[in-house]
Amino acid sequence: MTDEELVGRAVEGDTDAYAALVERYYSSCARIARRMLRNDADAQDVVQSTFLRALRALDRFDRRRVFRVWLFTILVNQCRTAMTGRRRREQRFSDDDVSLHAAIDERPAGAIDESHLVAAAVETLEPLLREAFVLKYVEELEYAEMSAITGAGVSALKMRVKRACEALRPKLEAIYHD
Amino acid sequence: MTDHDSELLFARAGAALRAPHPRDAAEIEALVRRVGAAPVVHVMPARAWLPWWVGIAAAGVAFVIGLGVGRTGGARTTVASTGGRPTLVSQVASIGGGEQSIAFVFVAPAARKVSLVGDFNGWDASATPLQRTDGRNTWSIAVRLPPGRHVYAFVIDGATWVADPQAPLAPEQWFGQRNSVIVIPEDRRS
Amino acid sequence: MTLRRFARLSVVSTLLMLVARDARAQDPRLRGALDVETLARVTRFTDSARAESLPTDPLVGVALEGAQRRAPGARIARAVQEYLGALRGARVALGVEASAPEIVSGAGVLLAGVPADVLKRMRAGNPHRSLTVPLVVLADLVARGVPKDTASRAIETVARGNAKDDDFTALRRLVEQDIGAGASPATATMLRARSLNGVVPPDPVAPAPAVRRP
Repeated sequence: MTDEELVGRAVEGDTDAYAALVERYYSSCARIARRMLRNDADAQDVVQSTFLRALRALDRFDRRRVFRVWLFTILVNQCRTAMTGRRRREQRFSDDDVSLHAAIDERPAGAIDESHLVAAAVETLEPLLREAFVLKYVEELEYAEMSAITGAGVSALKMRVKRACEALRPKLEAIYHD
Repeated sequence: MTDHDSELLFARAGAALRAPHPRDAAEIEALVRRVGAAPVVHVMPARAWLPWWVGIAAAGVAFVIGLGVGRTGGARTTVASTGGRPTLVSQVASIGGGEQSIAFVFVAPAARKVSLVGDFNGWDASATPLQRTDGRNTWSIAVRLPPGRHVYAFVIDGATWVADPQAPLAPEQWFGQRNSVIVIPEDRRS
Repeated sequence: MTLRRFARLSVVSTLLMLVARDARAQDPRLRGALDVETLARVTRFTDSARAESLPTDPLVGVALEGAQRRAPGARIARAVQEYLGALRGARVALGVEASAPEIVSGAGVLLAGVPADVLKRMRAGNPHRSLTVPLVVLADLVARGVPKDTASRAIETVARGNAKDDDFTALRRLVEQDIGAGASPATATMLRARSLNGVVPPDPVAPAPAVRRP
């Protein structure tokens, strides 16, 4: 069933239809939130509140729009709100760099699970670059969708992705170096 | 490194981050259970003629009704609508010295007790308990507040502090949570 | 009276005077709520605020909130100190004629990370109206994820257009509604602010407009 059909049923009160939408999009939302908030528990809170907000607003959702884009917009805004409050307590990026390089250097030979190191590398990016990189390369969205979600223009987003890649390249090369 | 190699590098990183996460299944199940318990709520938007601080309640959401009075005195009733059925909330007269009586209302059918905490009662959860009104679902209390900016929150069952989702947020998070703001005007002309 | 006895009496009476002065300066609401050391630190901050003619109630409020939330004394004292700094900054930016609610709302805006220049400009552009509500709305928008400069520009623009307090609070509510319906905070804010300065205010009962970028 398409998103549009599920949304149509969910608005009429079909909780199974809404549950199907949750199952369809939870993992994507969780991936974005975990990278942005750098904390699994906080990410869970934000993703839950995103889906509950979306549920409450579903009757106002214009079904000519793309559900995924709308949902991700709510999520990204929830992440930003959550991060605004925590900014004072966030680690400085230089601290993250130091611990990331230590983790790469100390990795035992032959270790195959690089996802934690890649996650740590992405998390050293400043928030706007991180957000752009995750939407482009992890969620594989088009720039037009990214623009609708973040409110930034396409050229601004392309610049952010470019800067994110430049910052990440040496770290990823170190991780994938055998 | 060629452009192609670069793209491969980042694509590989992206793929690594799409690996299934061990928490997802449990979190999805928890959320679906929670969604199953909460029906889709159709909420009426606040009407233009109500004072700015009036919001509409949905399950677990609080709203504050301010009942102001003109300087010439007398009383005016204000109603809030939930699902199209008007509910007369309360009727008050202006109290001297610019104080206004504000009715704080919180909808929480499952709560055993709800209290109001704020800078006007020392954040003491035992000082201003709300009373159940309008059947089982609604809790309310009327509080006199002097003019100025006040911060407040609700405490559910003596343990959980929540901000009022319909009110402006106070940006300060001194102790990890944001409170809500209400402004009592000095006079009605502004 | 021997010299030694006189000296001892002087010391004792000086101590008594100091203790009495402390007791008068301490806010009675704090005495039962904080441990001795935290009470002393917080009292020094409230004394400074009083001496500078800054509002002390918000500082006492923060200390009581911390006590009720069972926060450690050091954290409470730090919060009061930071709040005092923000109150000072707000008064400098808003001018000595600023009312207590304006100073407190201004402090909230500074704590949200908005530069003091924004407060200065708002005061310069609106010397006679109360800025309390516009500043509360500005702080709220930033807390909800609207970029600081977008929120500042929007509120400054609306204030220049002689909007009433009710207009600001309607703006806040509509922006929050739009964000909940999926709009980006920046876009929602600019659109709602622009329509406020137009001829007809937006109808809050109508469905939120689609704010998706083309």
